Amino acid sequence: MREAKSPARKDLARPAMGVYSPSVTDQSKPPWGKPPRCVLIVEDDDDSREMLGELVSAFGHRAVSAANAAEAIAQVRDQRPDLALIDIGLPEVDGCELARLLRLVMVETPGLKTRLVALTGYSDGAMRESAGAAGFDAYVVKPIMPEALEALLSA
Amino acid sequence: MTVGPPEKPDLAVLLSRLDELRLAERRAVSARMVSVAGHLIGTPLNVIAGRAALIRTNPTPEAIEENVRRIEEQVERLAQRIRRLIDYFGLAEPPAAQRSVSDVLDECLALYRPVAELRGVALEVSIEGVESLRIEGSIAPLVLTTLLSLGLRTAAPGDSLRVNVGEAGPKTAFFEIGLPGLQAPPTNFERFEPPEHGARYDAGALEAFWVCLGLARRMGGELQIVKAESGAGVTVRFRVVATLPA
Repeated sequence: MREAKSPARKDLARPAMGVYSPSVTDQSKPPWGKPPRCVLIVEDDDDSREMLGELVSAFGHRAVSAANAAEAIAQVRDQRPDLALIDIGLPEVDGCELARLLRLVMVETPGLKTRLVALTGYSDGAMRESAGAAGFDAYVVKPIMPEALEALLSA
Repeated sequence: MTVGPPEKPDLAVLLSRLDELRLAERRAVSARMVSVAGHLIGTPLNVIAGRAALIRTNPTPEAIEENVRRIEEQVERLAQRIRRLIDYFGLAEPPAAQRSVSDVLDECLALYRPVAELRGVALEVSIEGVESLRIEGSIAPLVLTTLLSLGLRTAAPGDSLRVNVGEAGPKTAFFEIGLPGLQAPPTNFERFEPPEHGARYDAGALEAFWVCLGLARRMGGELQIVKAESGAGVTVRFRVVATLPA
């Protein structure tokens, strides 16, 4: 399991095993009053994964992370995230294949419902169709603007 | 069962297959560029946008300092990737032998005349005063055959494809090819920028034009596409450096 890098800010405790601690404001709830969600970030790029984790935490949610498909499946089983942001261009097992595998995990695990969101640099229709066919619920093109991420998390 | 000697392949069919391969190759290059742009560049941009948002949500001096440092790292990463791409695509090739303008033109026309006949398109050629001038002998034919292929593919039966060749000032030869079946490409074409959203243009034709524009610039030449002065379509002006025969 991937251990997340220590967040740079001094007031954030070092996260354990791919779990980011809450943001500096220590929000127990996001500003809109909904309960915080558990968000899995599946991204092989260290910098991108770390930034997304901090951003999700800053929006008042709990972020867990994985750098590849195997870690992502383990995190989904252990953490039961509400939402998974999955980079399409993962090494070895790509994001679409991972989405198919996670759908199987959800079928096998009663009560597990994780919303799958594809995160990708491709914006063409064919990729959208592939993502939809693989079982993604939503599709976001990089660079994802923080406002869009916030809206996605609050949806 | 006896196997006789293979039938002589039809040149027009062979060229048609060759054009399909060239189109496939262009699409492969485009796909690679899309992948590069999407992943290699999109990821650092994503981090920069996110770090900027983190500064906004937590404007403490420590957080600002750390996030700015991270942004600078990503800018450096982005710059390195773009530089490597430019270096890679700008790799120098061995210089090609010089050939006469008439040799190059004759060879290109000989290749595409059967296709023109097959499609019912007339090829009208005019060459004046530059026959013996010498031009680069490898990339120039590639540009010309790409334009001829594109012109024939998009022309309607009964159309004429006009080719004018001449001198455009000292040390420059020009090839003007009228493509009756195409409209002028988007205005930002010469900057290799894709059309604005909503603007429609034949993607295959645009890629072919970009290939020719890139090749023309690479050999120190120019490529302009203007609306045809008379009749439908566009005129492509391809200028190349020319030297006097030794």
